[in-house]
Amino acid sequence: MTPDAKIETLLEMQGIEHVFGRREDWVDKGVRLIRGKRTAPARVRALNGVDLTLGKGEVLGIAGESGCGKSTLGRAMVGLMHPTGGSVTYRGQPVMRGRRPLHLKLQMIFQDSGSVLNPRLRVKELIGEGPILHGLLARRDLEDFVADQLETVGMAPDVMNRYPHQFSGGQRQRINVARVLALRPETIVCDESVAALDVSIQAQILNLFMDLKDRFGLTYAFISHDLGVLRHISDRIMVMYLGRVVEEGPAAEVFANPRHPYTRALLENAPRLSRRNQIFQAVPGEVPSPLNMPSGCAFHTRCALRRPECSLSVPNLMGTGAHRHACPIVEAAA
Amino acid sequence: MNRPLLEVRNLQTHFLTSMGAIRAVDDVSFSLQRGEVLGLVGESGSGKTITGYSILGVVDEPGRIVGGEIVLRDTEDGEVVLNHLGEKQLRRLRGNRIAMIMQDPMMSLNPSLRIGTQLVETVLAHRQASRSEAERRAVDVMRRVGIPDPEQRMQAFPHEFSGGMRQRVAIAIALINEPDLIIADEPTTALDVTTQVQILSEVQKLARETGTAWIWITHDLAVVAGLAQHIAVMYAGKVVEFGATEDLLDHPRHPYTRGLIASIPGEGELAADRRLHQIPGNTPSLLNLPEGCAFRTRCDRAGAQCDIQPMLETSSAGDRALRCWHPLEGQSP
Repeated sequence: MTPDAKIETLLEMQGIEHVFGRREDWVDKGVRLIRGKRTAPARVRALNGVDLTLGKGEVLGIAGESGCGKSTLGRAMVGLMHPTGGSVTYRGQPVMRGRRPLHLKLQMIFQDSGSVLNPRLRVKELIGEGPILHGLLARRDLEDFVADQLETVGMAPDVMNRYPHQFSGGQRQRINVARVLALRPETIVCDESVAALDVSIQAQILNLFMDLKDRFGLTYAFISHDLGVLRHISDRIMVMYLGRVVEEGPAAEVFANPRHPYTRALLENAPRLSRRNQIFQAVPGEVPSPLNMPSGCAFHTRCALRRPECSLSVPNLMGTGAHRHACPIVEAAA
Repeated sequence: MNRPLLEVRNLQTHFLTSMGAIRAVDDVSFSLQRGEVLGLVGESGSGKTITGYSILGVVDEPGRIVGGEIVLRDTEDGEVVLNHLGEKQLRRLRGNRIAMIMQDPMMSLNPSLRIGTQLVETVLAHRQASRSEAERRAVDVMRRVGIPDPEQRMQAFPHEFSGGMRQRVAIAIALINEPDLIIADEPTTALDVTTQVQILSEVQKLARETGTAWIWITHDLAVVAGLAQHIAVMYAGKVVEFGATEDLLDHPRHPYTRGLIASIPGEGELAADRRLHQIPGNTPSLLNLPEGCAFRTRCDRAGAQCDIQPMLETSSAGDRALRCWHPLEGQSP
């Protein structure tokens, strides 16, 4: 789906599938035939036919619980991982190994701000090494450049000689942002980038993301399990369940009028500040293991609207306009 | 009004380190009625967990309770001062009248013992009961926290459970001796949304059915908005505001409480510019707190008076307390 015909499409993913684990090779096959034992490891289908477009300047929110494939999708976007099926293109060019100029335009910020930063490097090296390596910066300009970058993310230039452990989690996340911005990216994939931060620090970093978007015309794909964060930041939202998209559309519309039973369960029951003395209503059961995926619609094992046909075939996205969902039962009732 | 089950008065728990005393909990007071859920809310380093540990008497060296009283009453109005008890007497209370649930259930479960063994052990440590009686009790409590097929699951080891199920087991162990008080330290923080809601729904039912009081320690105001009757907000080792949930959330009076509420994303009307209210600066280090009110360096209402530590003033009705020289007039955030 195209967000708007006038907006230039930056990133496009079509029919993305990703299977972890290897196929049975001839040795495994031999053992299986002779000994009757399976030796190939179990295979996990983390992504199953995901389509996605990211328009210039938009913020796409990707929601879902653990194991739904949202992080795998994020890694596939920036080319950190190459999906086993489907195509990823950026400005029409395939995202694949060895395309450095392309990869510079696509950057990623992770949840754990500490593990990304080499503990033995100073801030100025952490921020400057990327641009120097890619020939964007001459070594003699390092300090001025780093001072500029630090100022952009709201930090004092004099911290450039410190090491990562001397900062709090929120400050380290600012350093990560500065590091990523130093490469002049167009699109940033944020994978749970504010999840580990305290509320007051989280608000600062979210505001920083929005300031930078306005200033540099950035595009974000924002992966999070936190619906409040996504509601706040997203223009468009995609809800994933076990490797598939179950609902997508303009964020305001999806949050105001969720269609798919899973989205509804997430939105209507999650704790919110405005829900006082709420009677918590739980969706029964747990997310099934991706090793043992239910047939048909993966949500049918927990769904209140379940019908016999739900376990037979996998529903595609349906609905009119930009707001689409994957539940034929809801669609028939509408 | 009944006398409260638990009263914490001017509790001070300090860590005496070579770099100086860290006042992790400094003059904390609150009380809790039977069957009530109290939300203890704060950001990392605010002292909420150490407050919980102090009540149970499990603060590790170099930490020590250096002042204040923690009073636990029983139904006949007899009372014990927990921080004056010896280790032996405390052991009789822990797991029996007071229990704790940790954020990571694996911290309280032994990975090499079957779930059933761990539940039965908790009963036998405190009660004169036969093994079969204890087992019946264990099956019953597992069913109450929503674990399917409890008879079979008794034989399982902790690693055979998912995160949500493990947390249910931890809750079952906490509940099995029908304690008067359960201290829950961020028990749903690491869980997925749908699992979190399942646990909250079970806890809510249990709180209503059993008359157990809960202290729910969390950084997430949204969770306690739905669960707790009262909320205490902590900052840098002190309770800065206390009140009934609705009143406190709708009419916060401490600038920190208001800031905290307003910085939660995705609540209420979205601002057109997509900016959140933000509290400037960082949480100060407990080794190096500002003189007077610890929040004053981040506060937009701070004045000269704030160099002096404000006291926690309790309202005449006793249902609201505040530690601020320049409080808000209770307007909506």
